[in-house]
This record gives sequence, structure tokens and C-alpha cells, in this order.
Amino acid sequence: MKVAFAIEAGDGLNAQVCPNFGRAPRFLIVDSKDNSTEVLENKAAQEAHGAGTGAAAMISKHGVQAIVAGRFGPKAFDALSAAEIAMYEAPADQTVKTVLVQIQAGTLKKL
Amino acid sequence: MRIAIASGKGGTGKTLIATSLAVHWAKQGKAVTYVDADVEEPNGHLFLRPTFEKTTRHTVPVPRLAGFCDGCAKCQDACAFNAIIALKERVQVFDELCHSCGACVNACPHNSLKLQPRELGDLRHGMAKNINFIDGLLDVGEARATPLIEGVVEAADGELVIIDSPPGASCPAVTAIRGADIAVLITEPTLFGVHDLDLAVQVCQKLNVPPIIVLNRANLGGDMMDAIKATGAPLVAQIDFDPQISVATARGELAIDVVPGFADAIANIADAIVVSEVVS
Repeated sequence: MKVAFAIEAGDGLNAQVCPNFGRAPRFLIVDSKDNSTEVLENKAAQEAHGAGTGAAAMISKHGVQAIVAGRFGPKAFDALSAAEIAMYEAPADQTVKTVLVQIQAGTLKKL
Repeated sequence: MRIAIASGKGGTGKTLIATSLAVHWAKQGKAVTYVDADVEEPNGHLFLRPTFEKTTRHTVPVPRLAGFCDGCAKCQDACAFNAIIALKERVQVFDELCHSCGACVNACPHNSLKLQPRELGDLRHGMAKNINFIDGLLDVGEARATPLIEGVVEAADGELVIIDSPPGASCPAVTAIRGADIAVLITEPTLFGVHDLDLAVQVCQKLNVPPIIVLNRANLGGDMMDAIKATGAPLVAQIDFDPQISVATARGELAIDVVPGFADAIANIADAIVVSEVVS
């Protein structure tokens, strides 16, 4: 399963979850098969309007099954729901590694 | 002549001055059109009390999928506003982000997107005695005010058009001020008033609409003369605070009809507008 994480900075499993989805500076895509990672800069982050839908469009192009952020805005929620990508909200100070373990263990609830 | 009454800060007296100017010029026998472009909170009708003769639903075109879609995302890539996203075999349109440009319709290789009208609010025409009255009433919960503001502004023509603009310095105010021959910026002697006035002056300069300033409640607050001068726009008139104006306004009465001296203040502003227009 490929899981995208909204992150502030960094490029590895120790990166911290970003509080916002649409305006997150970048996304870290983790393939849970082998924990390999890929960084995606969020081009929509600086948009005056539509950052959430722009980020959702970008994420959906990358074939991820789930996305993690501190919170999702209403339009981003609609877009990600339509794209059938599972959303997880996680506290912003947690690392990608910690949250990934919770998702795999089924202890973090889907939105 | 098209006159935008604007401010930057809200609550400085735009509607008071705009409705009073309409009454003043109408009494002189001029053909006046009053336009309430503050479509989110139109209040001009409370004072001018028009009889509405025609109400139409104002719409904007938005794309809808009406054919084959393979999720190629060319529409999504063409959209500058992130208003359309491609899914597996369909698209999702976010109406409140859509600016009706039609780029997605042109980009679709299967010609599957069609523009359909979406309603934003009411556009109302009426008469208030001999004043032509036009306003817009945005639907509750509607995010896109600017197309309706464009609608009300474009619906107005005539010898003298007074555009009662929304406050602020962003799209709604810009849409109301754009195309005017002059902008009358109403301010007050407070830090808020003068700070936002400066922004409004800058908006006018970018739009090539010459701004003039009217200082309302001039005898309240602080001395803001240096700050007003620093905006670079001329201060053409001042109105002192008079509790009788507040009382009349609170009752929905036209202060110009019931407060002694206020008609003279409005006449001065009217003259200043005409003179400034000739000079510029």
C-alpha cells in the first residue's frame, strides 16, 4: 500500500506530519511493502484559492491509497473522497514512522 | 459619469453618502442610477425604498461532464484555479472555485465538457421616486460574489451612475470600482479608517480610477490629516459627526431630508466630485 504524508520538511520516515493538508509544503509517499519513500513538492501550497483541491488532484495522480495530515479542509475532503483515497488525521508532532505503524496496526481511525 | 463610492474600511458611511448623492442629484432633475454593488449585504434599499419592477436570477457558466471521460486529466491541468479534478472515468467540479473561463471545455479531447448555468443570486431593478435603482442579492452560502457584482455594475447606464461599493480592497471592491470615472473614498479619522484608506487609494491607482477622499465624522477620533495627505489622494470634503444623522440612519430615514445642514454637506461633495472629474 502507498501512503502519502503531508510533511513540513525532511524526506525520510522521521519527518513530522504537517498540520494542514492543502498547504503542506511537501508530501512524503511511503510504500509500505519496503518502506521506500518518494518526496513530492506541493505546487498548490501557495495558491490563493483551491490549495486543497489542487493538492488532492496531485496526490490522486500518484496512485496512493491513503493520505495522512493534521487536518483536511472541506473541499480537500470532498476531492479525496471522490478519488477514493482514505484519509487519516494525525497529531502534527508525530513522525511518519509512528503514524505508519498505527495505520498498519489498525489503531488510527479513517475519516 | 460613473462614480464609485468606496472605502477600504467598512462602516465609514458609503451608503449614507451614496444614497444622499442620489437624492441630491435627483432633486436637481438629473437622471440618476443608484447601484448597490455590496451584494453580500445590500442596504441601499432600506433608505431609498424602491419599488422593484424586475428581478432576474443571475447565473455563471460552470462545466459539467456530458460525455465520455477516460480520466486523462487534461481539464485538470488546464484549470488555473484547481476547480476541476479528474477521477477514474469522471471529473469533479468545485463550483465555488470555478471562474467560468472555459479552459477545461477547450482542453477536453473528447469534447465532453459542457457549460451550464449556475445561479448565484438575484439582480433587481426598480425605481425609488425618480431614481433608477439596481442591486444584487447574493444567495446565502454562495462564495462567488464577483460575477453578481459585475452583473449589477454592467446593468447600470445613464447620465449619472452611483456605485455603492463593497468595503475592502480585494476582488469585490475591485470589481465595483473598475471602470468608474472617479472613486469617492469615504474614511474616518481613526487608525483603522486611514490604514484601509491607503489600501483603497492603491487599488484605485492600479485600476486607473482617480480617487478623491471624503472624511466622515471628521470631528471624532484623532488628527489623521498627515496620514490622509500621505495617501496622495486629495481630501475634498469633510462631514462632522452629528447625532441627528445617526438617529435618522438608524431609523432608515434619509438624513438629507431630515437633518438641517446635511444637505449642504452633500451638495459640497457633489460639487467636489464634478470639479474633480473635470480636472482629471
